[in-house]
Amino acid sequence: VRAVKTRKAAEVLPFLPAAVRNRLEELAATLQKTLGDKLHALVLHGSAVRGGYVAGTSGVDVVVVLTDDAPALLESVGPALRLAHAAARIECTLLRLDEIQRSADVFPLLYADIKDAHAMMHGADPFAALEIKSEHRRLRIEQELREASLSLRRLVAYDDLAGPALGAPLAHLVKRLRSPLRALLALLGDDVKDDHERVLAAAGKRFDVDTTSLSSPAKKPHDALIALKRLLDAATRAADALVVPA
Amino acid sequence: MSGLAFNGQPSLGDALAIGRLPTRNDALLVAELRGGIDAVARALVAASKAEGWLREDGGSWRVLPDARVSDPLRVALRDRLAQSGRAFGVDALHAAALAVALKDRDARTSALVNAGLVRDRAAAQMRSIAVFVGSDVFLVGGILAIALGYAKGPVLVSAAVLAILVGAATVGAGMFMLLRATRGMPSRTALGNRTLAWIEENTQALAEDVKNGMRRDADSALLAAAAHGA
Repeated sequence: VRAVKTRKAAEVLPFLPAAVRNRLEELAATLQKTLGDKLHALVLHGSAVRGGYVAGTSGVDVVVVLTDDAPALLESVGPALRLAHAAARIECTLLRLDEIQRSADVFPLLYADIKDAHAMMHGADPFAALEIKSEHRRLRIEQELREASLSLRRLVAYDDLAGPALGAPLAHLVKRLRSPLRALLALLGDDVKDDHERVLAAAGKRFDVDTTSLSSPAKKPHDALIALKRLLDAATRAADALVVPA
Repeated sequence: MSGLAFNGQPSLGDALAIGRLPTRNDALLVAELRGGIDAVARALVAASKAEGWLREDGGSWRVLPDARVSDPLRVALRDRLAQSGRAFGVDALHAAALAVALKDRDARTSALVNAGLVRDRAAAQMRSIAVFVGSDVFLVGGILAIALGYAKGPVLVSAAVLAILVGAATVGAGMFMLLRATRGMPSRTALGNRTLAWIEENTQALAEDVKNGMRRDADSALLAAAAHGA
């Protein structure tokens, strides 16, 4: 059982670039003003809280917890959400308070990531008492790994990318794997620090794949492509074969 | 159907405002505001590449004939390029994009003028015509003055040369202004400059993500190219 880190945004925001911090604060103020008591909480998570945030590249993940998701209400905050995204890569997930526990079976990795490291920007913490079952995690791990394999096949077959142009979408795919790989390693008994590079290295070691090229796919995209395919195949087999307590 | 419309939604000039991120309907207005017809053409090309039907192959370009195209102006561009043959060069691509971009230019300019973001082209034309007429009067007046004998000898020659040079320069300036008013980019107002600066600042992350391949959808590519160039 990992320690749950619930922090206040004030502890985290000073580590973000001023422009991003200002955008986050503007967004929080706008959402509070527009949504009023329909806004239950604003939760900052992802690399901005966990560590590993890279200015100019990383997104800033925010969960907006609502008590009501009426279309008119969502439309009213649309411009502020789009502006925050275009200006500072602030990516908001809109959740309804009453669906969080009920959807923990289908979003176990997302919620586990949030539960592990988040900071409250507004309201009461909806993830503090959340229960996530191991079998749900295993299923979701397998699903995400298989989806990544489908995306990789599509990228190679359809997108007509070669050389350096392949680097960015490969890097995006590799980034998506941090959460399922770390969760898989945890179920296999390897407790790895929640850091992209360490998760990749640990997964490479566990599944006997050289992941060096995955740290920077743009440098050797073909090597990265081969390594990613091997890693996905091995990790998917392991997830498929894993037996966890109900 | 106007190219300003997207999926039947009308676009309004006052949609470009400080504090409001332009939607995909407004992207070509942003391009027009930033760099005129050339910027609109480049934004169209960027969106077409992102949409997947316009491909570059070793220095030449080609169109995928059966690809889905979601915007009327891009449909017009695809149809025009399809007439250029299976493969075509960058000059043909740019010429086709410019021709398509010209289609709705008056509507875009009107929207920007109504929003107070660019100066009225008709007023600019009137100023150009006034300069043009003034330069003619000056030139003819100078020649007449010389002919009537207000100056003689070397002074006469200097005055004649001066009159011709000044007159020619003034006529040149008038023609340039007239050309700029009719074909070039209308000049931005102070509000237009502030609005464009705000849009550029607030689409910085979007533009970087498009540039490094993290966002590859046509709407993002269109707005990024419109606000920052392709």
